[in-house]
Amino acid sequence: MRLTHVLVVAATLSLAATAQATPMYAARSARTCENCHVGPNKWENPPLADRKCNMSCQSCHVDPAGGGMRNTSGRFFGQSTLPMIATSPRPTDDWDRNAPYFGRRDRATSYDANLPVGPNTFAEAMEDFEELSQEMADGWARGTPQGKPSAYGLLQGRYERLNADPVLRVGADLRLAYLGSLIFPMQIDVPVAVHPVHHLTFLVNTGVRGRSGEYAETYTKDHSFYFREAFAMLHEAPYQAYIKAGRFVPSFGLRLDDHTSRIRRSFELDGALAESRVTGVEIGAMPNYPFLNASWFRMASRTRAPGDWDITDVDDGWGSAINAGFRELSWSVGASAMIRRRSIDEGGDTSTYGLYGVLNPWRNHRSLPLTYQFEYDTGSLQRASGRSTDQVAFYQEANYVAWNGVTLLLAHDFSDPDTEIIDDEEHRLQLGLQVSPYAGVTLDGRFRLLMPAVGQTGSDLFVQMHFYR
Amino acid sequence: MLKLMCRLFAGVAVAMMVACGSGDRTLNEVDPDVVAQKPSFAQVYPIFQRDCIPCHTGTGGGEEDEEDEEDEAGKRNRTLGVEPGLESCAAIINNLEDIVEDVFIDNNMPPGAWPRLTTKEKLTIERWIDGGTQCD
Ligand code: HEC
Repeated sequence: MRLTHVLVVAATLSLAATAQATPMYAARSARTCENCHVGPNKWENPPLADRKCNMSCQSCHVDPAGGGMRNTSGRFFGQSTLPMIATSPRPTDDWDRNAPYFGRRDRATSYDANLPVGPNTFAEAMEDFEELSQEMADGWARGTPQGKPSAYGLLQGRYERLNADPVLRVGADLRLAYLGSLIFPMQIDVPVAVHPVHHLTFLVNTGVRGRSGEYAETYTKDHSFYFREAFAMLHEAPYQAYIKAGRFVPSFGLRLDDHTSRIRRSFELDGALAESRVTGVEIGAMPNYPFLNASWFRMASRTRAPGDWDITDVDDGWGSAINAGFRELSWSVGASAMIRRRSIDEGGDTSTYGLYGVLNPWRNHRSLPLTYQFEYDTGSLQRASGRSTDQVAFYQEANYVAWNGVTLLLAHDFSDPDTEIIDDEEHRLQLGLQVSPYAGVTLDGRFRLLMPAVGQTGSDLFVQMHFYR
Repeated sequence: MLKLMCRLFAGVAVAMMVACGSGDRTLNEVDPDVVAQKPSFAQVYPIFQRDCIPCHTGTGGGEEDEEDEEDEAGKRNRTLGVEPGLESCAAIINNLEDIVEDVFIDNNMPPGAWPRLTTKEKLTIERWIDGGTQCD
């Protein structure tokens, strides 16, 4: 079994998770309202401060900066829109987008005028609160916080029978990868969200430790569990404002699921690594459609993973990140900046600036299910000698949703890790197919091509199974 | 000028598809102090441990090795086509010629789409070799 073990180590080390790029989901969700919730009978636009509907991460994730556990709207999206067989009512627009010969298969979808409808207004949701709560059938989310919900929280009835605003939600996230002839677990996450009273949530996500991808000195065969995220958050406020404090990954650029991408990995944002975790405070707001996230944090040295359970385990350096922009229905732009200040021993100073954008022609052209996103990052860093230099990374990706649950992907990475050095650049191309037969299951296969500035081009086939709840 | 254009157009998809690398000197020329002048094996080994040994377990394989010197892991790897085993200083030295070819000329290890060694890692190995491949 040693080789198996070693391959697990190997894969976690270098080229681990490459699953769906989730910012893509946000980008393409806007083409129909019923992606994220059942439609009301008639629509009354709430005042701006009360609006929860936007294209930002917080629409679908418990963590407003994105990634990890989904909230009820995100779960609804995962059941109604993502898979080949929907388990929440399929948006009308997608009724006939199933794979050839597959036909209309969703038992959750009535395919006629009897579509479920949610409450029209907040007042109506409050009136019917008891009744709607009784209709819930949701094994993965328990309880309702005491007292009447505020207008800023998710409303019962709008997510069909899912519990919109639970006290306790336990999730699960497992990735298996196939490399060579072996199948091995690559990532295991168990997130738990506790929402005891309105406006307050605790999120704790326990995961298996990944391995450092940057510094040989940090080699360990350690695969113990640790807190990937652990924070308390005040939220459900006007303009979807929030403040959270604890351990997290700073909000910067596109929070790609493919953490091996250079726009994540080169800037200490690799979501699989304990080393990417910082401890600090983050504030933000998303007043439909502008968004802003800003954080201040302390962190362990670049070469050191912080304590598994001790989120106060940091060294002397500090950092700050800001991420802001505008997310419209069919396009978005964002800009990010992040600085880290620390001694050379702790990894040295870095200043990073990023620009990113998304285009979703699918929203306006129903026959063109195409979405595109890119990010360009550049910034300075210090080498181990103390001398400063610059680095550049670029990522772009296009998705074509051929049928419900079947997506073609083309992605391109570029990195120049040190702009003073010759021949250290690298391009990576990926051609992939993602199939989601059922809610919470995705099979992702990719042919990948690595083109270093010197030497030979390499290629491989990387297949991944992703199960999540 | 090309460099400037590359950076200016970096956000544009097409421009990025052509190699837009910058820099015209090696790390050794730009920043000689970035690694020790004469790295010890203790500084070199973690690179192999992290980037090579996950696949190249064992201490056997390679042309200069006797069959019976191979350990179990080495044998298993040989059947999978992953050789040589690089888990000891002696094994690394035994296979130095192949390693130099793969890492410095072909730049094809780790293989496939795995990220290659960084310039800093390569410089460390290079200086260790130039310094006479000391094992202690
Ligand atoms: C993902 C697994 C993997 C990793 C990591 C890996 N190798 Fe390999 N290596 C292979 C395989 C498979 C072969 C045999 C097939 C081939 O030559 O491509 C091989 C072959 C070799 C050979 C023999 C090829 C020849 O020229 O005869 C050498 C030398 C080598 N690797 C060195 C390295 C070094 C040095 C590293 C670390 C920098 C490394 N490998 C990392 C999988 C790996």
